[in-house]
Amino acid sequence: MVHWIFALITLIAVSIATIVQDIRRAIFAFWVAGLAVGAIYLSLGAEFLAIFQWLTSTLVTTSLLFFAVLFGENGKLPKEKFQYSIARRSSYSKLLVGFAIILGISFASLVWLGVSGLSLPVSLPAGENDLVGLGKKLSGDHFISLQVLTLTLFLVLIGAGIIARPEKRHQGDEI
Amino acid sequence: MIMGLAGIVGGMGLICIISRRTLLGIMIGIQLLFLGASIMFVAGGIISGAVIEGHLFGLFIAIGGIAQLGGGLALAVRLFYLKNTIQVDQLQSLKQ
Repeated sequence: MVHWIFALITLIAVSIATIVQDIRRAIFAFWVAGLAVGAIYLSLGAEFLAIFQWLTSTLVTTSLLFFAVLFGENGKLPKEKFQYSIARRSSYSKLLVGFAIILGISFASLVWLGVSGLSLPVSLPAGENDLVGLGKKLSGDHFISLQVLTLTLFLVLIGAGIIARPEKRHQGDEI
Repeated sequence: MIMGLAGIVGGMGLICIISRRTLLGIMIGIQLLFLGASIMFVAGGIISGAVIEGHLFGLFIAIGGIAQLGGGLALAVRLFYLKNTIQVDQLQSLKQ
C-alpha cells in the first residue's frame, strides 16, 4: 500500500519537473521524484538500491543546482519586479524548508517505527539479504559488467576533464 | 502497475528532452529517462523472480546516469565558455 503513495508522489514530482519553466523548481521536483523512487525501492525490498538512489539523486540535484546558479538560468529580473520577487522567494523558501522538515521527520519516524513493516514479501534466496546477494552476484556472475562500468566511468571522467578545459588563447587572437 | 509508473516516468523524461531548450533541462529529462529504466528493471526482476539481477541492473543504470551527468555538465561548461549561454538553439558547433 505504502509504495502506491510514493508512486503518486513520484508521478506528481515528475510532472512538475517536466512542465514547470523555472529550471530550479524543475531540479527540486526531480529531487523529490528521486527520493520517492528510493522509497518505492525500499518498500519493494531493495534496501541497497534505495540508499544508492537517495544518494545519487541528492548528488545530481546538488550539481545541477550549482550549475544552474553558475549559468544564471533565471536571468535578470526587471527592477520593478525585483522587490516583489525577493518577497515571493522568501515565502517559497519558508514553505520549502517547512516541507523538507516534515518530510525528514516522516522518513525518520517510518524508519524508527520499523522499515520491515513497509516492505513487500519479496522472495530472496535463503539466508541472503539484498546486500549479500548483490555482492555475490557482482563479484561472480557480473564481474565483467562491473569492470566495463568502472572503465566507462574512468573514461567519462577523463573525457569530461578534456572537454571542459579552458582554451589557451594565442597572441593576436580576437577575444 | 509499477511497470506503468516506470513507463510514465520515462515518457515524461522524453517529453522533457524534447520540450526544453537548455542543456540543464535536457539533462533533467535524460535523468528521468534513466530513473524510469531503473524502476522498470527492478520491477521486472521482482515479477520474473530474478530479484537480485533486477536490483543489479537498476544499480548499473543509476551509475550510467551519473556518467551521463558528468559528460553533460562538461559539455555545458564548454558551451557556456564558448557562447556565454547554454541555449541549445544557438549550438551549431563546439568550435570557437
